[in-house]
Amino acid sequence: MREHGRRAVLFVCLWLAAAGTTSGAGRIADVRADVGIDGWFAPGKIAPLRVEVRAAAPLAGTLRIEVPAEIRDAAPVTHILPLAVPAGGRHQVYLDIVVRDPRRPILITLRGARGERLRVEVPLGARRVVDGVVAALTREAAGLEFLSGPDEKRRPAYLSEDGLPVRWQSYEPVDLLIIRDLDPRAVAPAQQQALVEWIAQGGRLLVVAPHRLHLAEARWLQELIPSAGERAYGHGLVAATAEDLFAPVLRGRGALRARVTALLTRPGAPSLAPPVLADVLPATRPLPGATQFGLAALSVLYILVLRGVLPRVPARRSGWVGLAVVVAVGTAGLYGVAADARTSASSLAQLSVVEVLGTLPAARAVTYASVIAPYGGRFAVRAPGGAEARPLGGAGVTYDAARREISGAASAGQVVIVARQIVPVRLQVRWSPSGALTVDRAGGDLQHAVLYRRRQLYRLPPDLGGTILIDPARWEPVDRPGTLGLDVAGRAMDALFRQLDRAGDGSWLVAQTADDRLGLRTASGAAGDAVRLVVAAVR
Amino acid sequence: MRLNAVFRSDLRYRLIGRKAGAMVTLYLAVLGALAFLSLPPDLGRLDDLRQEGLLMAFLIVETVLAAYLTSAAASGEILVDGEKSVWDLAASPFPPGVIARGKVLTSTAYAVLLAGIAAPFLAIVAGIRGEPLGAVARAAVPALPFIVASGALGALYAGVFESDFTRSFVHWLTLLAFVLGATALPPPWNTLSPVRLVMLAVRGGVGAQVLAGAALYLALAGVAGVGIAGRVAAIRRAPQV
Repeated sequence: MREHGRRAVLFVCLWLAAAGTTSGAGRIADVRADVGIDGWFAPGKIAPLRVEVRAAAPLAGTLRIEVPAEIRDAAPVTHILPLAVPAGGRHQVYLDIVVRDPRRPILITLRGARGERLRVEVPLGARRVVDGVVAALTREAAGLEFLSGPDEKRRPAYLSEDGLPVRWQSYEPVDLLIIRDLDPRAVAPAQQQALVEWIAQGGRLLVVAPHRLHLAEARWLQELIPSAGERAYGHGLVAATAEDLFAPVLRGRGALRARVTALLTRPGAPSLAPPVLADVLPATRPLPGATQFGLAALSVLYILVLRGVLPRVPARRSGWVGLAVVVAVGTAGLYGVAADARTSASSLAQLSVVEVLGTLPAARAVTYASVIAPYGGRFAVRAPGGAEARPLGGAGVTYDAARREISGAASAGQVVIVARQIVPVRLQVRWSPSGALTVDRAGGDLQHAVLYRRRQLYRLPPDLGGTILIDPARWEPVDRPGTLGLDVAGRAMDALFRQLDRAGDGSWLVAQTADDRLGLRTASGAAGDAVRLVVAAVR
Repeated sequence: MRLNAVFRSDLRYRLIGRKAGAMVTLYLAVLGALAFLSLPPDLGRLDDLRQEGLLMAFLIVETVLAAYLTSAAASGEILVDGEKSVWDLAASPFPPGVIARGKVLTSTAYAVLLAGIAAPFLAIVAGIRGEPLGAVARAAVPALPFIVASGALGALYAGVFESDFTRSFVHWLTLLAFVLGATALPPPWNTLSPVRLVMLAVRGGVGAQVLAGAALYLALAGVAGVGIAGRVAAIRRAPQV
């Protein structure tokens, strides 16, 4: 109850602060914003932001949300969303934001056809910063007090169904989700999907006393819960306890604390696509030789023509006009060639790693896209639907939700954007008792498939599928020069193999794919130079 | 319209003279090479040379180079075939005022010419770095008066110092004082520097400081013009040996 009270006070403070900073003569709408998991957020990680706009009169336009950058004078991260509120109605938007400076407020602006209509500041506060959150779906906000100690970097968050994120990305600060009380009818399909997808990617779920839940109405949850103890779901873990660990008696014995601590200390599945993979992507592109030669030739031609024209200038009245024409044509021509060279030097190079999630028919795709604008300037790329994309390092960019576009300025010549998405992929690889490889897959064009194990690879036949006999004599050492090639694909494979070495001692199937659902697109729809790798553990 | 005879003659020789032609070619070749050197993309990543820094560096080099060539041609350090110095013109029937106006006008026209013919190379740097050409136009506001003032001072030195060495020495000293000395002064005195004024114009637009600096250099050109007229009169008054 005390925690609920604190939350109420925080909410009232946020509301009052928002109301107090509203500009304009008459309030045209009420804006309410909730940041984080029950108000908690981890800097540099995704935090859910829910914005609710209520208006008495019809309101149409855009909602502009500016999240401050880490550096005070740097450009903020801006989200632009379409807004349409009917008379007396409300409009709700869910966003994934990354809080980098909790000392400065988030700025929410409503823009109509006639410009800015309303401006609201949402303060955050350094006291809401945590390393991680243990979220509990429970009617009684008690039981996780052991996480509130001064040395504890995690904090408990007591949620209702309404507080469950609607996108899997928003679970990033959540280390463990506990479900004790659940009204299945109050959980929207998007929330169900987000929860399941989060667990599949490595999330940890503890279901307490499942017999108390109406699981018949929550098939999605029923399918997750193990019959006893715990089970792996994709890369995640689902545990269940028959006893209500939140019951005062068991709490008093420390049963809840012991279970939660045990689950939190369990190592999670490491990502096979950490940001270090982005290092294999090109960071710049030199100006093509033909362009350089063209500029040099035009420059020399201009000097020669000018040398011919200058002595003739005093001889004729029109001499100055001729000189002006030569200079104007030279300026326009060289400016045009230079500007064109600048545009054509901009490019996109990306590396996608599609990691099959255990035995599930789904995969997590992580794409690192190097947006190269060698001479600086603005860029714009589009992310596929359902993907979460953000710049590595927190560069100030603008997300346009209506156009699914990310734009910004590549002042340093390059911006690396990481995009994460879940894609359906059916690919299961197993060792048969006889030592052959069994590949069960559907759809998807896999090329150059190899089997990888401890710095050795085995080239698989192009028609990947069914049972493949492995000839022990055909294993090749990865470190032998020329095995992988020096192009981006070869370097990407090498970097991926190093991640696989860290992930475990097993065997992996790695292949290239032309799956165009993956990665980013330029404004013209091009994927640029894209390397897409699929990786599945051999079981 | 009747043009100033001194101006007409000087400008003609600066356009048709072989040495003057070589001077213009060298000037354009240096700027062309500089523009070409600014092409590598990685240059814009250096902390001290961000994208806009390359254009600014180019504008500063162009301004200093044009100021040197204008003043060197006017002072006689670079002898332009056929062009008469103030000393020579003192022996002509032209009134001192006409000679002074002619010399200042020659410097003005030559400054505009040098700045104008460099435009294509500026366009390369601005185009490839995505800089608006407005920055180039703004830089001309303080740059042109400085080049004109340098030329006018060079013409004055041609009438004041008979010795080639002394003339060259004072000429270089003047340029160094403006370009390096004034830049090293503490604020606000460093806004006397043409380098600083060009930087201010490119970065912050044409503000009061830039306009004041431009006016100061134009006034200096005017003062040099008055000095040339006075010097012509003095030479004519001096007893002939």
